[in-house]
Amino acid sequence: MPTPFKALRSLKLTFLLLSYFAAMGISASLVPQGRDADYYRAAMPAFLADLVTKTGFSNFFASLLFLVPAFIFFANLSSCAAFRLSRELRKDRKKRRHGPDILHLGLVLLVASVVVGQAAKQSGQETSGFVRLSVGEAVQLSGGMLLVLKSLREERYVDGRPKDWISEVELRKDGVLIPPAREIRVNHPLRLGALSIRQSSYGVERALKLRTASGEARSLAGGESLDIDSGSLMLMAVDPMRGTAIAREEPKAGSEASAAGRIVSLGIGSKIGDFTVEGMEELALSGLMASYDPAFPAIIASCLVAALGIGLTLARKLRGGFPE
Amino acid sequence: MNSLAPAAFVLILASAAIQAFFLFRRDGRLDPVSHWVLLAAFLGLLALIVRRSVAIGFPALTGTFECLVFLSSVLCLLLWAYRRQRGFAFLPFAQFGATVAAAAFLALASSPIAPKEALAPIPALRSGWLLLHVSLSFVGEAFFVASFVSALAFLASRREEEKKNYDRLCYASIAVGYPIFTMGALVFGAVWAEEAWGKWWSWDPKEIWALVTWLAYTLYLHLRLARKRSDTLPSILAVAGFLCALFTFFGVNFLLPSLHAYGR
Repeated sequence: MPTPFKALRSLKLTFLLLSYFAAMGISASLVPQGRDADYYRAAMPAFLADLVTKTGFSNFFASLLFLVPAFIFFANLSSCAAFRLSRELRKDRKKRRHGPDILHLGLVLLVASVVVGQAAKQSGQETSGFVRLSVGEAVQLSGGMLLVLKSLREERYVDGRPKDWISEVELRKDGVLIPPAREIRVNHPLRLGALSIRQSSYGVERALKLRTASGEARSLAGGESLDIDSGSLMLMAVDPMRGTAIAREEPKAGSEASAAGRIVSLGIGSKIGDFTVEGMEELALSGLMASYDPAFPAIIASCLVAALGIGLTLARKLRGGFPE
Repeated sequence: MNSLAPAAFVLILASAAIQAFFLFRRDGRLDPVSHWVLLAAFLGLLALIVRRSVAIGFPALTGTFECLVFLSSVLCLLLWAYRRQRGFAFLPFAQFGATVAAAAFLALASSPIAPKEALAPIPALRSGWLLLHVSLSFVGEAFFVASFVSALAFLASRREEEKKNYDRLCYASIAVGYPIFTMGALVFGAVWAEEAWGKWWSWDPKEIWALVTWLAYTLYLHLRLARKRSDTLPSILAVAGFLCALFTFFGVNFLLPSLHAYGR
């Protein structure tokens, strides 16, 4: 009778699981994922739509249909790796082949890192998100850190197409500058421990130039909101030719005003809370995406271990030849 | 630049024609020049890639046309090296099949599905990781072409000795192509995705199909490990794996919505 360990490390189980993942992966790529029940009811026969939604297949890679076999696969992979390693260690030193062991170990570490990283993300206080900043604006990061956009430039090819977007930022903690100033470019994120901030987009938006009676100035670009006494005001569009803009005024939650809000027209001299509209401008905005990934170093390390295993296995094959 | 691709295409077709002529001769002699013609085609395609790279100021590996040209060129070089090596029995039919595949990829590169305009890449595509991701994926796939042709020949063949040789070639092609593909398509792809989007993996259709391709070849290697002899099932898996690789490139690009759409 096979022991549980023997059953767990069996190659038959590996074949079964790999075939399952391949078949379900193909199906999941063909059925749109993450839609609501109405979408599936409209797109397919009722029994199929029910099957897709009730089994969790509509979100396959986050469902038990995937997670349970993935857990079994992790156990299978770990026990195979342990068994194989112990078998190799019993061999004569010259006959040992540790490439596949290291590869399997790398994969085990990778899966473990991803799971631990996801768990830390779920329970962590850190936030991920997207902001658009114009030069001079700042955004609060976790740990009391403030990120200030110092400059923004767009590089273009000779044909005018965008080549790169570069944000120069500085970090401040409790008001004190942390040198040096850093650059965030597309594909070159700024990493602050587990937090990384990447250059996600660049855009030029029409904006309103605002100023308070005390002289404090700021800009309000299309799509941005400003808190006012009665709630908030979101700028929808600016027409510099006519010198007008339209915005949507949203009442505070629970107020007696219409829940749908109202459209207001703005012009030079209009009042928005403490601010007065002083003029209109074109504002360059840097789209920055923050993401929190505590598993980053562990994932990189496990990829390196797997790569080493792959390299050793391949080198051994190339040196030793292929079986007849 | 425009004449290099047609010239390479003509060279590959000429090589295939020479190989076909010698395949049907009964004396079993090997043709003396077809692999050198393939090497010339490789050099032509390499020149095309270099000139295009200079024109756009970045290694030309970011569009469908460029990737197909690259795949075809790697295949030509691989076939030349295969003919020159001494470790394996030379199988003319496998060489012929892979030569036809190289011509087919180049024909697809010239078709309307692959825009030929040389455009510098958008900011997200300007990454060293992307170059590793794309180039190693296609080098791996060039080996998979060889495994596909060998597996088909294995399935069609009736003579035991011939089957053994085709099986060995198929196994060797996958044993070399698989780690290269793994590093390129999955590892470097994930590293680039993390840098560009902040996510290692998005379960995007392209990623899912690359994983399915990898799973098919993983199954093949483990099946070979378990059975330790040539068999029909591994060869069927080798064929299925390559069809998955083809769908990952063409099917996902043109049939399914994907984050990789800007690579078209």
